[in-house]
Amino acid sequence: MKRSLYILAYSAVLGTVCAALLTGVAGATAERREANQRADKIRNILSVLEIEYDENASPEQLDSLFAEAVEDKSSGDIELYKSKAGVNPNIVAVGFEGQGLWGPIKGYLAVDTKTRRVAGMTIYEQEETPGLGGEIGNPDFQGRFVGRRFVGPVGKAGIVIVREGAPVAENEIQGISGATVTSGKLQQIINQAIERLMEEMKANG
Amino acid sequence: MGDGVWKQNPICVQMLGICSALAVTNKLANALVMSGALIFVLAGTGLFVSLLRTITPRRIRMIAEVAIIATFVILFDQFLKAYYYPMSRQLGPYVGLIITNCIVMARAEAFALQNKPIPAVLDGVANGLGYTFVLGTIAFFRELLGSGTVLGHTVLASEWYEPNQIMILAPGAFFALGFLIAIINAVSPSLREAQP
Repeated sequence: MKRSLYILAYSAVLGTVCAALLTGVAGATAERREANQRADKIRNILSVLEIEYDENASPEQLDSLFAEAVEDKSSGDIELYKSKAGVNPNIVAVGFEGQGLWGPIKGYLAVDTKTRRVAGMTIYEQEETPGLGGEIGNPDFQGRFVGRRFVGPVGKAGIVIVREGAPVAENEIQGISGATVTSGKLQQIINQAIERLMEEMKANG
Repeated sequence: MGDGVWKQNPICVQMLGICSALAVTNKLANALVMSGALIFVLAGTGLFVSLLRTITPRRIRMIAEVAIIATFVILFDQFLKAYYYPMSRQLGPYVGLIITNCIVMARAEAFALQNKPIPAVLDGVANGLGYTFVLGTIAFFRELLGSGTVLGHTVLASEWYEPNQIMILAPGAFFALGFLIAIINAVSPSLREAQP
C-alpha cells in the first residue's frame, strides 16, 4: 500500500514538473511560433496568387506586403483573397481545410472564376504519411492541379483525384500511388471549398 | 566514452535508430540539426534519469524515462518552431519521433539508470556524436551524389555531373547506410564480434 502511494506521488510530481516546464516554454515561444505560422500562410497565399516576395522576408515584412498587395474578400466561413495588382482580375484564392488521414490538411486553391480553371494550389499544413500521402505537400503534385477545370463535364462543381497514370478528363487530377485515403480526403476538402466558392459567386453575381 | 562514438556506435554496431537515420539524411544540414537534437535529448535524458535513479520506483521506471525524453524532445521541437521555422518544416515529424528513437531509451535503460549523472551525460553525448558521425557521413554522400551540393553549395557542377536522383529518394538511404556498415565492418572486423 505504502509502495503504491509512493509510485502515485512520484508520478504526480514528475508529471507536474514536466508539464510545467513544457507549458512555460510553449507560452514563451507562442508569439514567435504564431508569427511563423502566419508568415507561412501569407507566403502560400502570395505564391498561389503569383505575387512575388522575398524568400527571406521576416514575418513583419510579409505582413505589410500582404496588406499592400492582397485584397481580403473573406466573409463568414469562406476565406477569399484577390491580388490587387493581378494581371487577371478573375483569379481568386480560396482557402480549404479539413481532416486528412492523420491530421488537418489546410491550403489554398487559386481559381479563375471565368474560365473555371485552377491557377494554383498550395498546402501549408498537413501531417500525412511521409513519402506517401505526405507527397501532397510536394510542388510536383500541387502543379498537377494547374490548368485543370474545377467543374465536371456535366457541369457539376468539383475536381476528381484519380489513380496515378490513369487517363484524365478535364476536371481530373492524377493522384498519388499508395495514398488512396489521403487523395480521397483531399478531394473532399477541396470540393467543399469549391462548392462554397460557387455559392458565393452566385450570391454576388 | 569513445565506445559510443566508434566501438559501440549506436547505428552501425548496435543497429538502433535506423529509421530517422534514413529519413533525414537527404541533406547534410537536416542531418546535422537532427543530430544536434538527439545529442541534446540524450544528454538531458541521461542527466535526469541518472539524478532520479535512486528515487525512481523500478516498476514505473520506463514510463518515467519516456516522460523525461518526451519533455526534452518537445522542448527542442518548440525551439525549432520558434527560431528555425524553415528547418522545423523540413524535418517535419522526425524531431517529434525522437521520443521513440531506440537510442535514447536504450541509453537511459542501459547506462543512465546505473551510473552517476556526469558519466551519464557524457555517455549521452558520445552516443549522440556516434549518431552524428553516421548521419553526417550518409547525408554528405547523399547530398553530394543526389544534388551535387554540400550544405547547399554546389560542388559538382551540373555541366559535367548529372545528379543521381535516387540518392535523395528513400532507396538511396538504404544504399548509403549499407555501404557505410559494410565499410566499417571491413576496416575493423572486431566490431562485428563485439555485436550483442
